[in-house]
Amino acid sequence: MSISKLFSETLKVVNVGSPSFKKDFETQGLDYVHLEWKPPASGDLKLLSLLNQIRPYSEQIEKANEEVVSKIKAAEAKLVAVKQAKDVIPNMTSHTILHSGPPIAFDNMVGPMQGAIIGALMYEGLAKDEKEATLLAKSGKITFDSAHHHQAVGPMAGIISASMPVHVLYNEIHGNYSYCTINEGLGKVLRYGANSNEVLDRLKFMETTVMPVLNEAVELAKGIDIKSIITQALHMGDECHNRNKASSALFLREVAGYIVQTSFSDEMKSGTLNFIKNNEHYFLNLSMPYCKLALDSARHTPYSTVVVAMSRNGVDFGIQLAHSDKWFTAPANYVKGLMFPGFTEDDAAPDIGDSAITETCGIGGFAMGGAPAIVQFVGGVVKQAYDYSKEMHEITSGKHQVFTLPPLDFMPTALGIDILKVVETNILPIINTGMAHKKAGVGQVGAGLVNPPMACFEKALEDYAKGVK
Amino acid sequence: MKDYEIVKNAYYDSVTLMSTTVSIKKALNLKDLVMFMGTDMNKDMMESVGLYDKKFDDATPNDLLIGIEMHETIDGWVDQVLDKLSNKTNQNQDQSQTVFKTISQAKQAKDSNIAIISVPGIYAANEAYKALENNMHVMLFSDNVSVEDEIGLKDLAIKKDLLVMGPDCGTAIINGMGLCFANQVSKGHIGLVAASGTGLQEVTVIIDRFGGGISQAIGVGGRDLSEAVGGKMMLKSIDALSEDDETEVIVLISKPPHKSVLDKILTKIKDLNKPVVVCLLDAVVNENIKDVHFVSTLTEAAQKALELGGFKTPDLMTIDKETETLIEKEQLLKVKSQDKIKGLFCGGTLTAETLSVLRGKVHDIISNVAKKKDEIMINPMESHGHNLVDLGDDVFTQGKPHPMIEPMIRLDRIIQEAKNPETSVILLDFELGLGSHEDPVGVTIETIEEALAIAKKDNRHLSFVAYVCGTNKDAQNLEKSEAMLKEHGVIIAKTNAHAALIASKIVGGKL
Amino acid sequence: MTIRGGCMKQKYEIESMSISVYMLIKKFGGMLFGIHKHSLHIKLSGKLITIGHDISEGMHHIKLKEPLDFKDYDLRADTHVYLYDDILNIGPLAFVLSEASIKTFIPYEHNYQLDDEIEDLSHHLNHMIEKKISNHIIHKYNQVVMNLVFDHVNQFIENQSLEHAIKLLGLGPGLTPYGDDILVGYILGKNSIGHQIDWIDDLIDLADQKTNHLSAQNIKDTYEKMYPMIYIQMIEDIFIHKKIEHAKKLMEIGDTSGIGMLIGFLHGIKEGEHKNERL
Repeated sequence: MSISKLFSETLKVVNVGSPSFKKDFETQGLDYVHLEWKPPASGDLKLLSLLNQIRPYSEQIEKANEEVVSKIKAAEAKLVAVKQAKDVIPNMTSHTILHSGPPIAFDNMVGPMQGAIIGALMYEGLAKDEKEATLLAKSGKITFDSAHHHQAVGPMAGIISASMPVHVLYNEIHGNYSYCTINEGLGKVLRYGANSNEVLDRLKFMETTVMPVLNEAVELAKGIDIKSIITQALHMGDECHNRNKASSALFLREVAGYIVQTSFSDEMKSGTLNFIKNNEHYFLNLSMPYCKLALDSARHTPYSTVVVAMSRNGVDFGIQLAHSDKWFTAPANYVKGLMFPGFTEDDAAPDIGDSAITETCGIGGFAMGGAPAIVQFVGGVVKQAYDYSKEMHEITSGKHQVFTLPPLDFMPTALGIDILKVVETNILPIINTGMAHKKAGVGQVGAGLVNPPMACFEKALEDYAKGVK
Repeated sequence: MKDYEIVKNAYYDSVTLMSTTVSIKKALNLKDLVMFMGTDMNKDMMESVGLYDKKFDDATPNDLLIGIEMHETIDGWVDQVLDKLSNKTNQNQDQSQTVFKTISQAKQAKDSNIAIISVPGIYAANEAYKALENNMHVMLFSDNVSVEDEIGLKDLAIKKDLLVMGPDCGTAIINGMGLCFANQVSKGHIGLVAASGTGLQEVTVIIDRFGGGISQAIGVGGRDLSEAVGGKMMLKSIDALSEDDETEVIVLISKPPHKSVLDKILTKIKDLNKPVVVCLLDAVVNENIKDVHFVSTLTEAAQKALELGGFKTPDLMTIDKETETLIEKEQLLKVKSQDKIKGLFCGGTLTAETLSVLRGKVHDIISNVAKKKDEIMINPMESHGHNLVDLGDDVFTQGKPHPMIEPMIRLDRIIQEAKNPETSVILLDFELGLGSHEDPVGVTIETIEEALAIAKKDNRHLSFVAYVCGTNKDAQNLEKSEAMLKEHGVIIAKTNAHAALIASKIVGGKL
Repeated sequence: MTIRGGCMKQKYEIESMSISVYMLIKKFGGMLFGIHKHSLHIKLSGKLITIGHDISEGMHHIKLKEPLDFKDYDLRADTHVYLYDDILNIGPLAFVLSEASIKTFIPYEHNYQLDDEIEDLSHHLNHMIEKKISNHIIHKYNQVVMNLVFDHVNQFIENQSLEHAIKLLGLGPGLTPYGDDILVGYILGKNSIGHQIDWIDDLIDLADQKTNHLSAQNIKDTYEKMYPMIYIQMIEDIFIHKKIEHAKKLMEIGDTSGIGMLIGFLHGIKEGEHKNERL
């Protein structure tokens, strides 16, 4: 686009700033667009100067981000096995406990996470009661680590111990794996910090019944295509984070026949079928590892400013970028939305869990426009759901191809959160999520919307600016 | 290859039909596109130009016939035509009015080619970078942009063969369109590059007044010719104009540049294929370069450019008989104490030019735009002696609109000068055109009357000399503005320099 | 701003509506059939009514006080148009009538004499028209087509006979075809100097067949001297005030319509040696 070309073209103006020039454009019949301009980074000069420092690399950044988005889109995901964590998760030992969110010491964890760990230790047989379990947890003999570091994710407390069954997902495009526990269902469950006998018994049932049956069924099926279920479910009112009814039903439909064909007793088969059927959030523990799988395949792309992980441990919110494995953390926000009867906002723990991996991969809150039913949880109107889905496009580097939202004319969902765009536009990713009671073991007390803290993105930007030179 | 379509009961008004035809033809690069109501006569006509199809036989006069001739088959042309006719955008119909928040959004949707940026200086550079990254030219109206950013932006722009007009660029005329503060002038063959907004305005309106026209008028911002920036944009613009077919004469306008920059410019213009007129106001250039003409006033710049283009002008730097008579009348009514010129300006460069002209003609003239030590006006708020005040200077405009936008700011000062017994002439400039106040003369007239009355009560006669920088095509209308002033006894000058000469004559200055 | 089919209607004021249209809508109601950015078309008992802001007052025009972009509203063709409580309802829009806005339009019977000054103005206008045609119009349309059109127009101007007038009906570009505009202007011109066109009745009879409803209605209204305000303003401007401001405004109408009308008008006001005219 050269100067001589400009001289021979019709002027098409973008007016950035004073609206008083508009009428002069109109008087002359000039084709113009007036920007709804806001100072970038909310006028924060420090951030602006960081953005400026990065500017010379914008070409490389764009290319890298495109590469990341392509890889994520290309990833396939098949459920290929259901095995115990110690058998499949890398670097898992009998004394390793994985948790959601960025790394955190036991003493700093919130109630639900500590409660879940106590339950897990008892489930593993490493302690016989709560007191023993607590002492053991504090003793230093247990290795705690982020599930993310082991290619795994888990909702809410996200606790994974050695004997727990995990879904094994495989991406045949890049050859990587991801893992996630089986969803226990609603009510008093481990992921909300409950650790009573009822909880442990259920965990045992999942290990001894559901795991073997499902594993053989999946082998018979030669793997279940998880990505394809998500694609269909998005057209059926699910967003695969807070609303998983359709996807769970589709999964059951895929797997039921094979379950029947397995070599196990009728009791075990029907137990497994009913277990899946009765849990309308079953699929969350499959959509999350799909996202993890797809995003992991794009890791270690130099220069990229795309976010490949968003996660919370109940205290901090952490993000990771595609070009490095560093965590950028800041205190997590509280979820805003509707409380279940009997609970108030004071009862809620801060945002917790690995489930924000769904938004990181362009579904969940980013697909809200296709799941208007979710809106009840946020106390809003359907139009807001549409607006959020559209707005996310302003902070991502690209968009999905096959994940589309029918009510928005099959608009694809936004993909590839770019920290530069987040900082510049001051628009934060929107996350749809549940609220846990701050006391261990009580359970879910509400659901709503939450944003990551801007500080995470600012820290990531500072670090990036330093590193890129 | 040809194709046809009928739209039944199609009542599209003619302007829509026409604009659709023009834009679709361009967008799809068609050989032809005709759309007519399906009347018998029009059917005959389409047949005679070979754009008839038998599906047209059944069309009624209330239907629209569309005939298209394409270079190669274009699928979906009908939909595109229908969309444009019904004014639909090709994005989500859900958005009835797309809101653009960022430059890249706008660029993607509309393929814009120039960004006009007037946001606060601290953010302006960032926006300008974004525009350049999106391959758009930039007009940077904002000031308070750092020198480093100016250099960075211009370097990037030059690399990408894009224009960065500014920072602090208030005037440009590109492809006949006035941007920010500019006058409506005829299109023609004189191209200008200026480091000054009102300077550019002055030269373009004089050119227009005497029958010439402007091909392009590029503003480069007030600091382009400083040592640090090195005249980057001016040099680039000179190249652009020398390659531009429409430009036959090039005019360069600026306050005196740094020596190193002047050298670069001289080197550049030595070997140009077109005549160049250079106006650097106070700077004295003792060079003799073929086809390069050095002048020291904006008026002479315009005159020279016109002359090179084959247009005649009267000698604008002399006072004609009619004006002489008016001047003599004024002189007769003066009392002894009145012997000073008070210039109250909205345009900074016009102030500087007036200073330049009057310096050699009257004793001890001062101004708040002066660079020479002995001409600096110590307190711009108080006038004494011959003084020229630029009311657009920062000291006056903190928290207030610029006098070109809000001329009321000057009114109090006019009264102040009227009360001063040494005031003989009050010199005023009025800028018309885009961006300026809708009636700068009208809003000042009452004050002129009041000033005259104040002086009269004291048995003094005040002379008002005014120059209206504008054209008849400007909304505020030059003729009307001048007439209003004449009615109130104001002497109208033909150019800004001319106004200075008249003022000088009235107080008995040297010729 | 989109009004999403809400229950609150946007109310706008009507500046002028003719009493005959008022009575027709009140009694029979109408139907929306054309939705454009700045105007709406309604069918009303065989008449075509135009609603908009940038149009002049006239018998078949409903002029609005403020400009609207009709594309912003959820309007569909075939929407019933009705009057209730002096509010004109069209889908989500409501237009408020006041007593002052209902006007009576009567045929404009005044006619005038030509003189030298008017001839001068004519020349001036002709000059401006030629410039506009060569600067703006020629380039936009298919050259061959326009040459044919201009040919027919020239032949009509030379002969001013029924045969050539018929050839102008429905001829050329525009919603009101250029040839129709020439005829409208011509009839207007003849009316204004009190000349009767011999063949006019025969031409009017053919209008409905040879051109679209809107244009035919226009021609008939002009024939019946039911002029929109802009025509009256132009006639009085030229004949009484000896000014051409309104003629210039007329030139800006539509893409070629205004020009066509003005060309026809200027020829219509010339005294002719044509046998077709009767004093």
